[in-house]
Amino acid sequence: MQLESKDQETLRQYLLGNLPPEERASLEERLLTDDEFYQELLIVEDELVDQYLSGDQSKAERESFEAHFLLAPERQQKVRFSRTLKKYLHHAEQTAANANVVARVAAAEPVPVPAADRGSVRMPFFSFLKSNPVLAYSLAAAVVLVIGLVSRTALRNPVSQGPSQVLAVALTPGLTRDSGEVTKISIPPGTDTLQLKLQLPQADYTSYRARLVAADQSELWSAEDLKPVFSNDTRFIEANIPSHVVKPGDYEIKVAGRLSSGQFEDAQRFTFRVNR
Amino acid sequence: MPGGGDGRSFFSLQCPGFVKPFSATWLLEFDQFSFEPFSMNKDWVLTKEAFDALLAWLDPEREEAGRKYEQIRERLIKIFTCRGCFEPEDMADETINRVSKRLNEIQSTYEGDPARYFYGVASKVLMEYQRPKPTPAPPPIREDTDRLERDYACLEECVEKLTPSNRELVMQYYQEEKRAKIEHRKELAEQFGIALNALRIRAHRIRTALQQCVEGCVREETI
Repeated sequence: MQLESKDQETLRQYLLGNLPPEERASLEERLLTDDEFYQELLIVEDELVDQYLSGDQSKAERESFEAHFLLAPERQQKVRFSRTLKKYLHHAEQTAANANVVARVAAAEPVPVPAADRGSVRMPFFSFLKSNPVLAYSLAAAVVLVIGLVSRTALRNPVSQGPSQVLAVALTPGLTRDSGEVTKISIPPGTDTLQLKLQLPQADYTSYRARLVAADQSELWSAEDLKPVFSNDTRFIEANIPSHVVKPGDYEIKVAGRLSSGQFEDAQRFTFRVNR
Repeated sequence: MPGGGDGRSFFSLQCPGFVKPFSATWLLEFDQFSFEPFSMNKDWVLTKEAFDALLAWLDPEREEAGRKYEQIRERLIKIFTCRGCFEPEDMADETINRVSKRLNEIQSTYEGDPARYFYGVASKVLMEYQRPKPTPAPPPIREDTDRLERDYACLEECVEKLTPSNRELVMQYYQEEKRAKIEHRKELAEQFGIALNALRIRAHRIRTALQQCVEGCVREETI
């Protein structure tokens, strides 16, 4: 029997504890007798957990998820596992993306760093690195070096825009404090604006919102309606942050894309450290 | 070895936590044990004969009957979990015991899928459960750093154990974020030469196997 998207939505509401009692009984009876339907329940369960961890649920859904779905210890285990899997995949993706960066830099392409060609390029690179851990670490170290050189060049030659002094720095996703490979930025005296060029994934967003948060997650700066620009097949946005906002310390930039519905969803995160 | 004559339930004696009382292996080896009866409550005892009769009602083939029994029990647990019950395994076992108890009365007249009868009994168990006992609040998810590190190390090991094809599938299936994910998964299904729903099912199975592998690995390391 072919399941319909309506079935998926019904199962979703059931798992969140939102299904009316009159629908619940027939659904549960079907769960006991229909193998395909039961399997769909298990898949929807996984998808709900993923959406919860990605922050891709409405406020009401999130509340139902926490108040009802997470009651069961086995589901808490599921969330824990999914969080670990997400972290693992994120690291794997970034390792592959960084390898791609090195390859492009070696081919003398200018910064900002090009985006990975998702689907076709990432997996061959990743598979290659998984079987060559030494090379993977070497490539990661090379990426750090390249970004360090970019930062130094930017530091010595801040881009001038009219009377104000702008320090432009390209940030790639994936360098994290956890991995010890965070991008370090030194802001010279007299700089008015820190211009971060944030590389983004391919996606159909009309515009972006960027939020700068400190290590304690307090929001220091934000901007909306940022339009993507393209350079060498790379999509990025520019976040122009007044330099007085950033003191020495660790920061994260959270970028969200605006959907055609007007809602935002997480698109990318960047971390960096400011030295003075 | 099943049994225990101290008045505690068989399940609490043998199967604390998430371990099932009757695994498929255990079912196949059931006849090798000298069976000692166990009880879920004071009023009735599930004997080996009663359990055999239950299996025979589910299917004439013992192996298939065992599979159906496992399936019904797993789904009952899931339903009780979905209803917010804090002891879903015990409630599923209570449901099965009640069906066994009434089997002599119903098996000659009942028509249709036995699973439906189990559901009817489960509904009654659920009503009784919901009346007297409030559900305890869930324990908060603790972010134990050591545990997270163990989980991560175990996941790395478990991913390495996957076949190259399954590893590539799971890596790619869960890579993309949000909207891009939908298009990416369609492309991935084409790449693997299967329908999108078949891809979802395959990814789910690999993910479930990974989770079981990680939990087993963490348990071993803890011991």
